[in-house]
Amino acid sequence: MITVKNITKTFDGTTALANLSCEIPDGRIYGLVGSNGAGKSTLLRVMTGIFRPDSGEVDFDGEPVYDNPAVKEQFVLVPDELYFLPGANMKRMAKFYRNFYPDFSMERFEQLTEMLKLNAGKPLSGFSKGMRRQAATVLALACRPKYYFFDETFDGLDQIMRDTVKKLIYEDICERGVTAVLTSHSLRELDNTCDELALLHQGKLVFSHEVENIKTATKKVQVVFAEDVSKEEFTKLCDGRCRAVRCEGRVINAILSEGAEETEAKIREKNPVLLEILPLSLEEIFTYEMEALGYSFDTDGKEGADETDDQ
Amino acid sequence: MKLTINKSVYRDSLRRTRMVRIVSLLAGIVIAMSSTDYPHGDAYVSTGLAPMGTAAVGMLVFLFAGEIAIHYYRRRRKWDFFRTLPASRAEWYWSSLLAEITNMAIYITVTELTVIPASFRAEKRLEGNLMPGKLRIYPPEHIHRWILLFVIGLVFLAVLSVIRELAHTAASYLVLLLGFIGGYWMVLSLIPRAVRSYSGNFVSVYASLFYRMRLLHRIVLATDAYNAPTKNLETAYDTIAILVNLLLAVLLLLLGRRLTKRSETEYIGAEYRNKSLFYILCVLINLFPLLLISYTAILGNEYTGNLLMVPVLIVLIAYFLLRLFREKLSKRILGCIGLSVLLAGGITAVTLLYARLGRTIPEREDVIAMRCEHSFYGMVSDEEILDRFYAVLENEHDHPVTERHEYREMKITLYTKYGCREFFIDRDITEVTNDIRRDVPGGVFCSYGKKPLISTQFDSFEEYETFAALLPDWCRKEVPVYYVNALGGLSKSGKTINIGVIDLYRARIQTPLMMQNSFSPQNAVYCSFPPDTEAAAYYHEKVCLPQKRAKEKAVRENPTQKITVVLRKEEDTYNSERYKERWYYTVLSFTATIENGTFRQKSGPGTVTFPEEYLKTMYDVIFGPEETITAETETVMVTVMIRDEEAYSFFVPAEKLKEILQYSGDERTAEQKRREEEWQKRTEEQQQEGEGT
Repeated sequence: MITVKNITKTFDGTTALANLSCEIPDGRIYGLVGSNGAGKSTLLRVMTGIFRPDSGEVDFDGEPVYDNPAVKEQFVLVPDELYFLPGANMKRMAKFYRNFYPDFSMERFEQLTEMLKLNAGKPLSGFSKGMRRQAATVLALACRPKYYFFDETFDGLDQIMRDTVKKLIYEDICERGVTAVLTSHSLRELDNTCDELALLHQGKLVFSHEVENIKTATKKVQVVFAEDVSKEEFTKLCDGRCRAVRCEGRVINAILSEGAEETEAKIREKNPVLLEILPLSLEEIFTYEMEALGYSFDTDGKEGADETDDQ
Repeated sequence: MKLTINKSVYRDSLRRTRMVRIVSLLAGIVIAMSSTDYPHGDAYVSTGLAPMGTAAVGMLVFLFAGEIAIHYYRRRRKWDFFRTLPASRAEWYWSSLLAEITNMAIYITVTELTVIPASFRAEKRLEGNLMPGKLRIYPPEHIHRWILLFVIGLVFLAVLSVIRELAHTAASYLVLLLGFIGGYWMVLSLIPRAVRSYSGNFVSVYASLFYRMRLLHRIVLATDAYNAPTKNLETAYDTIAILVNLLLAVLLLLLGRRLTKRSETEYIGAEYRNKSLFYILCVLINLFPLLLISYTAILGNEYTGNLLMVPVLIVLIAYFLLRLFREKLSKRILGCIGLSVLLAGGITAVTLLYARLGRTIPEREDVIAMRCEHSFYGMVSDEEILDRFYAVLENEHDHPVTERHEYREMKITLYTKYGCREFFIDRDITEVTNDIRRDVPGGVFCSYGKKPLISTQFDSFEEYETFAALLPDWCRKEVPVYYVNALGGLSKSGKTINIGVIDLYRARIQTPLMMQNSFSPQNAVYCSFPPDTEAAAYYHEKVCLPQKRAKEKAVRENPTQKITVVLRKEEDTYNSERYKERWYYTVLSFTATIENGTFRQKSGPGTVTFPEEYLKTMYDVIFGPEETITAETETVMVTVMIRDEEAYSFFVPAEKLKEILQYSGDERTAEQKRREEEWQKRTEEQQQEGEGT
């Protein structure tokens, strides 16, 4: 299990991570989402021992990660900006990794290379962006570590290849019970990939839940009452459980978080002309959550101008 | 930090720089083979250094370019990548460093190997087919150079590693690197001066970069590099050195402030940065010169200019130390001081060793010619040798002995493509008479590689040895052997050889290998390496002629010139009866000016009229083409002083000069007349005694 305890990391007075804590249980796919500059990559770098936190600690099964080769043998990081040894091809990189990771499987490497139709003898500098990403993933999977860290995993991959890579990760998790931590800007990717999702904003952890729980706990309602109901009245009706309320005439759109069923019952008591409960995609939940945190842009580019006013 | 090595990292680092080694090797071979065509007869010595120096520069360019590229493009990604791999920071650091050291060792070894065939080739070109034992001097020097290069490389790489850890961007890396090299260079340029007193009164003159640039500049402008006193050049260098040091100090200070600020702001790589390390580097850089300058000051070295830097450096160091204190890093302060002392001590020790060996930093110059002169002389101390010498003179040649002198110091001027350098070396012999001092050897043997430096008869050392074996015992003398090294310096080999010490009446025993004290610059041209006419031509065309033309131009452009003309008729060595028929000339000296084309005498002994109609002739004599002088021509040496700065000497036929100056007869000095009369009186007495008996 990865335990992140009260991590704080600042750069030149800018707090990248602020007293952040979380736990990542073994055998899960853990997704990290957040706005730009939320601290996702910094958290990943702290977790993989690239950065030493200003305060707090990161443990892998109770062992600190920073400057600890024994712990680092247990994970592989595929960073956002890939790096390969100058002039290296996949074979050389495989040999290089083999020296560091005791469980590195050349058999698995060859199998994956063949499956993805990658030329292992060709210099990586000649690979396209997507192919480089594939190569890095293959090398990481061949290391057969206990933990994977993928930063912007699917960036540059086409849909088929995304599915393939996802499948490969799933297989590894199923077979060996490994843990994967993913960051991605594409919430759709994480939607049906992750078991658990954490939302970061301004260096803080907004929430960390299982994906299914997030989806079931958050619903979108569209209500039309016979008489006019103001935003304040509706908010009062919901007992503060609505995350965002938008009134367009007598049509009210709202996002309901925990206790949605109870709120729904209260709304029905008011005999609405129309009441629709719609499921939310992860992307929508993310958007609404961010809006609730004041992270949104109007058309003039002003941050946090519209939705927060409607709350 | 624990010294741990990770084999994978080591192997990888080694592998990554493979191309650099291959390219360096190829470049080394090409340069080594092409350098044997060097025209001035120094291929034997220089080929050993030429490829090494040039290839080393090439390698450094590669190294720096690679480092800068990494800093510019890949630093963040590279370190992110490395830091995620299961190896500790210490392992990365030490393994990479070890790999770089290995690279350096391989590089130097390989480059050295490329020199060997080149040396054989050079040997063959110069002296025909190889003979057994030809290269016997070569290997020790080779190894010595190898070790030195290795040590320098080691220090350099260590510092490079520290700098790499400190730098955040390509620009800061470059500035730090240049700062370090600048500081290091300053240190190296100071140490040789500081250790003169440890070098057995002899050390190769260190030619700094500025010194070379200065000389080069003078040569390019065809000015007076050949007559400029070394002291002036050193002063110029000194001034520049101070400015550079000041600039360096200010740059480091500014950079330090900037880096310490940035170390908090930089996003990526903040973990690797350690601002205390930066302070250590700054203090190291600044502490070296301080220590060494203080050292030279204590020793009373003449290098005083840089002493001005002491207060500046003290302030700088105090500033850094205060910063360190403020950050409560007392351990680091102690470590810093310890490191400084250790490193300064190490460098000083190496330099001392070098000074002992008469070496300098590997740089080379092209020696074209050499002039030797005795700067002063005193009384002879070894009476026994002197008595035997005089006995030989008087018994075998019936020659009188009037004065006894001993040269204690000899000045040797090396003329190179880049200017002249003066060396003062002690002589360990000499018993001479005033009258014959011109023909008495200077007591040193100079060679360039295996070539006697000044000779008209011997092409090789072996040939000389054959000749020396024929010398009778009484005129043998062991003298030290100096040689002009490929660095343009004069080195003492530690060996002695037998030389003939007497040249009586230019007969019997010739001593063509010895230094003569009457070399004029003109003679020096033709006394350069015997087979090397190209060098002589180069010297004449590139140095003598431009000098001559410049003076001509200066005089013609400026109608009012103060000219001091010293006329001296050639004085015969011996005033014996046998050579009574020889001329005795009086030294004439006068100062004159040329005003609006009219030559006016101002002062001088005796009355010398100088008719206007001869003015043109005088110009021709002084500044025009030289007269053809044969062996039989009686000549007078004319020395022209312009503005009391420049000396220009040449020989003109005495008859012509008489005509010009209306020279009238015998103008012997009173002293000469007295000596002649005394000698005649003594001869008459001897004759009377003989008749009496």
